[in-house]
Amino acid sequence: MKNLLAPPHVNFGLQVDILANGLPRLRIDEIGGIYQRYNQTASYVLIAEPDLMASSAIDVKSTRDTDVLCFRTSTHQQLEFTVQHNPLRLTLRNTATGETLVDINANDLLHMEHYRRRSDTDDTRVEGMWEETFNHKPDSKPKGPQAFSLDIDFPSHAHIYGIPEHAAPLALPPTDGTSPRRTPYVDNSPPYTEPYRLYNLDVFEYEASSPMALYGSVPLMHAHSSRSSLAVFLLSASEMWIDVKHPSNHSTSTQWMGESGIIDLFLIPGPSVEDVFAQYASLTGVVQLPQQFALGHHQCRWNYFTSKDMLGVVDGFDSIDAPVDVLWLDIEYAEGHKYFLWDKRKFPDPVDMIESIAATGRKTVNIIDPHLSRDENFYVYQEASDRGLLVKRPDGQSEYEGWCWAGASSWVDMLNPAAWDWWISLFSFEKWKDSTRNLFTWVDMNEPTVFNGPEITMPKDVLFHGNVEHRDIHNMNGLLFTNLTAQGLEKRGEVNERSFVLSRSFFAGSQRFGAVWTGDNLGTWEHLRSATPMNLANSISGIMLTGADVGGFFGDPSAQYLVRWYQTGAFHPFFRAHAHIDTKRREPHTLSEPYRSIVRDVLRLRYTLLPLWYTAFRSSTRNGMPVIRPQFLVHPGDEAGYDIDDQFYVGAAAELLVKPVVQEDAQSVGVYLGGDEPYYDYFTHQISFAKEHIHRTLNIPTQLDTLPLFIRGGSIIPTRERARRSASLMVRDPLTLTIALDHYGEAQGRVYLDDGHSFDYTRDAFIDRNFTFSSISSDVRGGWALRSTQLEPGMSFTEGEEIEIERIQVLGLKEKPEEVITSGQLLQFTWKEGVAASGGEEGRASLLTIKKPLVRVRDDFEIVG
Amino acid sequence: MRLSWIVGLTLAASVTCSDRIRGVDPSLAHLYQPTNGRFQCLNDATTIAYTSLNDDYCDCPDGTDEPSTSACSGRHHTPQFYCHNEHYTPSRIHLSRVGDGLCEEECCDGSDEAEGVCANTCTQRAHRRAVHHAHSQRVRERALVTKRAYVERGLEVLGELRSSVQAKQANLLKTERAEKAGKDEVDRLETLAKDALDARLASPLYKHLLDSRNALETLALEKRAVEDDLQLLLDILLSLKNSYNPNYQDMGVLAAVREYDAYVDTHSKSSDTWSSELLSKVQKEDPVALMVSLDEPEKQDVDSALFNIEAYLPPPLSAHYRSFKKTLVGWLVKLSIIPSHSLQEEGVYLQKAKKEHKKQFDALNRASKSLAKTQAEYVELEGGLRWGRQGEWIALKHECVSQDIAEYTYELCFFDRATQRQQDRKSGGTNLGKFHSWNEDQEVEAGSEAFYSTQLYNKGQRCWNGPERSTVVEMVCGERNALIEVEELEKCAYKFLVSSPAACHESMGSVHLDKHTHVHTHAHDEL
Repeated sequence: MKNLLAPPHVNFGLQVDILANGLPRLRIDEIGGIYQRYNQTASYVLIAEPDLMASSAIDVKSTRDTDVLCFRTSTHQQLEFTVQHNPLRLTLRNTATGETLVDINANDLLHMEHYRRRSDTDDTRVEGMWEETFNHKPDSKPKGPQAFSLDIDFPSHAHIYGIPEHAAPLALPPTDGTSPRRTPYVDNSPPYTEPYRLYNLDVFEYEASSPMALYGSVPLMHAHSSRSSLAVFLLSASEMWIDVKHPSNHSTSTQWMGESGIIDLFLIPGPSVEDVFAQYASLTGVVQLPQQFALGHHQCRWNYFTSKDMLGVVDGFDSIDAPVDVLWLDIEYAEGHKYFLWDKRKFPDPVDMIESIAATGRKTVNIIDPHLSRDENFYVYQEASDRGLLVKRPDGQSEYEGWCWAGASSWVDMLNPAAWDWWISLFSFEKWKDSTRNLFTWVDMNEPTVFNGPEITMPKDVLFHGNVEHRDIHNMNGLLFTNLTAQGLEKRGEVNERSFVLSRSFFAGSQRFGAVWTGDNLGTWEHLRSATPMNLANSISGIMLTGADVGGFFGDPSAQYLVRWYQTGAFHPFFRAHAHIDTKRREPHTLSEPYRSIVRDVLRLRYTLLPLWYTAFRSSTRNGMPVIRPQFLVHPGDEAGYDIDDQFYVGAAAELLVKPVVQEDAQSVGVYLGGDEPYYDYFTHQISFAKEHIHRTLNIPTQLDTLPLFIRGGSIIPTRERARRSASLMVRDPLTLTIALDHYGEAQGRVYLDDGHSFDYTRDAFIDRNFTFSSISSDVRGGWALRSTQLEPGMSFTEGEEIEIERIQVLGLKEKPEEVITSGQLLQFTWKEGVAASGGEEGRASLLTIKKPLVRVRDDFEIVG
Repeated sequence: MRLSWIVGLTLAASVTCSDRIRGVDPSLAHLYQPTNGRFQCLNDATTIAYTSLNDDYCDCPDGTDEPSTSACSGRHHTPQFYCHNEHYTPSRIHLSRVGDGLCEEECCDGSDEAEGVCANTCTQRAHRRAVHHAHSQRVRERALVTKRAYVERGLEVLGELRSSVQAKQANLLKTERAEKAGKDEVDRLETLAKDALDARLASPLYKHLLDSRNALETLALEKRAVEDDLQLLLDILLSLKNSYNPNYQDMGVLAAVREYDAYVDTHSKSSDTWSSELLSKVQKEDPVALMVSLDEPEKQDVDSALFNIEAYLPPPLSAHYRSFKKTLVGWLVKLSIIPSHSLQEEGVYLQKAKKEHKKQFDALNRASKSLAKTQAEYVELEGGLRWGRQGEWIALKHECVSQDIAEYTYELCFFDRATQRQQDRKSGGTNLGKFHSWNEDQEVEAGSEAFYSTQLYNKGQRCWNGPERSTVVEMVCGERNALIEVEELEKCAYKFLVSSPAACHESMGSVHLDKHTHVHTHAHDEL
């Protein structure tokens, strides 16, 4: 390959691989350059070096000008990848439909700056090519210019999603100054005129709608239409900018610019949404199965100041009988912000405190930021310094020093393999005496934040192991740190416990190591509105355990606002309340009535639904599908839903639809009903059908304590209706199955249970059941049967043996059964008249409640009526 | 008859062989009796089969049919689970804690869990409580001895004040008499000097003097105001410097702190040419006295120019000269060519008399103020709510307690202020609030034990970007006066836990005794 802007002796190479499952991977690099462009990102991000398709399975047709590769994906899609040589153009086409999926360099923007010597640089063009200054912060740029650019067109797809993290609508608005299709969630928001930026940054009081960079980045972009779904994944951890425009109503054109490294592009062809997620998961992996407690409620604040303060917060929850699983400690627990070191003046006996909290099944999390105080008496810094594990100044010799909470600080070099085992060892109980198995980790400031650095982060010319410049790996810095911290937790003690790490910075693949959140949001309605699209964007980018600071980090918002936040946050995968040090206390027990009780009920609702959440996460570890899903994923053929990002679905089969109320003093809210299925109001069991409502939009009044929550007809949802103080105290409690019938009077569902904390589930210690409710057509009375069968073979687990199903509720049944029987035994039941799902009428659904059906969850059973 | 027999059987079956229902307050047990063989949900018209009562399934819509299990724990307004805790004190727990595998501290009889899960620890607990109570009682008794001493001390203080008032009243009478005599003398001399003085006071010089003096006063006031403002700003900046959030994202704050340091550095060295003492000295000069004293240099002038010839004359001529001079001066005075000599002389007497009277007057003022102050102090201490029901807090009026916590020393001076300062500093520090009142809670009766359990200190130094600091002091009974614990739950809102014998009450079972001892690990040593 040649670059017309480069001297004639400079060469570039294009390598095309077809992965075993049919994903084309394109790599572009300079050949024989002065330096090797950074090409190791994949080794940290991909779960493994991908297998390639056997060449025998690829039909190559070459002419003088083109090479055409024909192959079938593992999803049975017949594809044709064409390399046109001059001018260079790369296209991916679905052979069967003739649809062009991806068209690269159609706009001739593919470009890669070649390495050059400074002495060869034309003086008139030196400006910005070598050392430069941003806000008085110098960047020595020792290798000079090395950027790349690439245009990727989606000729048949008008909707694109992904490339988090931005506070932006889910369906990405264009960046060319034209108006987005849907009115944005922020009032009077001007159209975007800057490209989306991917550069992990600690942004103070970020805007609620903007393409500017935030804490994390995943360079994965989905393109979706009613005909097909696909994605592109440009694996580079350097700073990136992405422009988006729509040349026509049915197409999208994007341009990607990166600062350094090779171009490593994966084309993810779909064609279904499920295929896209499975294919992406085959590259960067699936979500770690979280510990059960991680899905409970988390209570955080900057800061709880003493052991007594912490225990008082636990007492506060207990006093109002509200559940909470995790109590969090921000930076002030650490003496002089030297993480690992508890300030014993405030926390005289940390182990005692952690174990007191653990007595009711609760966990403690404290913060371990990646900056190490350069204090010679601080053992962590001392060890890292002695072993030469710290990031170096551009001279490659002395330790880089910057400012963060701890004052003068240095950073661990996570590219150095010697740092890995050392970092892991810091978490061992022998080494860290003030920790227990009930203590977990929060990694903040890992973009990294450097108070006196350019844009509050690390200078790009700082050097990592192997003389790698920070610019080459910036966006995966947080990922590396989270990865090793998670390993630290997994390798301490008895080595069978899952880790839990919350990280602010993230990158593609971060799902394997824990949770993320959307950073320091504001306590404003606009930020509340931005939280759902942001968490949906993370979810469709593989980052499944994602949440936002419930209540808003900054400010002292009203009680109404807090209630609406809890109602929203309770349906985000990671559910943590947090607040800035300057705010007033706002834990649920500090609220006045009626707010306190409303919040308590929301917390209980979250816990009631924990079996559904846990099943969804387990399912995601199998198929890579998000646990919360936007409208377009659940109704991929319904174009009217593509721009909707203020309602979403929860569950392995998107069983629940939720539309958080995010407008102040909202009197009513419109819920878009996709598909033809009946939607059952979770609380009133009212059935609604899209066809009965103008624009398929159901308007429902919204008192402060009402939350628009629906069960999709055809679903069976597992819940635990008994209130407990924490998730682990629910582990033996019986389940309730709620069966919401579809038109045909049928439904199905799943429940997955395990011990909730160990890796025993990887050795089959789990229960994974499939429930099917079907009509027995042969029966003249139109009878039915509920069957429970094993979905994946598991051996159950100690606590799981005796778990019963205490109640089965069937919604929307046509007739009251004469009797309900299992294994020849008559079961007690009650019946409430109401409408049937199959009747197609709206109204309160009939309700059959089977009391104590005498079955255990782990067993096969059949109940007929 | 037969019916009730059947019901009795059912009861025995579902409620074990004991006559009480697990988890039900005996006084409410009657609500769980069958009505026509059915159970009537407590807050709902629904009835359910009596066999459904406590069958570990929530039947009643109001969740009242499962007092012994957790089946209805997810419902609202369910009665709590009642732990009988025989040999100890009965208690209630949320249904969410029933059957969760944990032995609740509140349920020492273990009745909240299935049989065999939790040991019955009520006897041990009762024993521990008895030991604890005995210990508390001993401590309380010792503390009450101190408290009685405080009450005594309070009475003593009142007694001292009373005698002090009497002494001061006598002193006042004496100084009143002296002042009256002094005033009469001044009046006499003033009548003599008045006419002459009036003329002088009408002069432009006097007017100018008054104007200058007014101007000086105004300027001095303004200067003080400016200095106060400057100090306020410096305090704000100092507080900013000491407590700002070192988040360098706010470069404005960092710049402000640096500028402040530079300012303090340069301005700490400069001194005031016109110190406030100097100014006030100038201001205190009596303008009338100054006018009177104008005579002296004038007299010198006239003497030297006209009259001091005498010194050059031989002694025999002196008497003639003196007689001549007297006549001449008399004429000159009459013609208003020179001022009257008598004014000068009388002015001196008057000045003296006035000075004397001023002293007497000041003494009178002091005596009267001192009396008023002592009287007020007496009245304040003697009556009202502030000093406790027996005046036990009087003894602590000037007491301070302090404690080093983390990097700070916290101090509470009773009825004065709460302070926080860096441990390495001896004085100064941040004002966390000035004494405002005892407990202001509307629901607390003034003068009750609860009233004397909390003090409020407010209007402390304002926080950067926040409210004025304030402190709530919780008073607990203890042997010593001590600051036990400090919490800052929100920025600038402090909570002090203070022990004092004055906070002890004769009655047993005072809330403070258990409150801070059995909860968690943080036992205090005040009891």
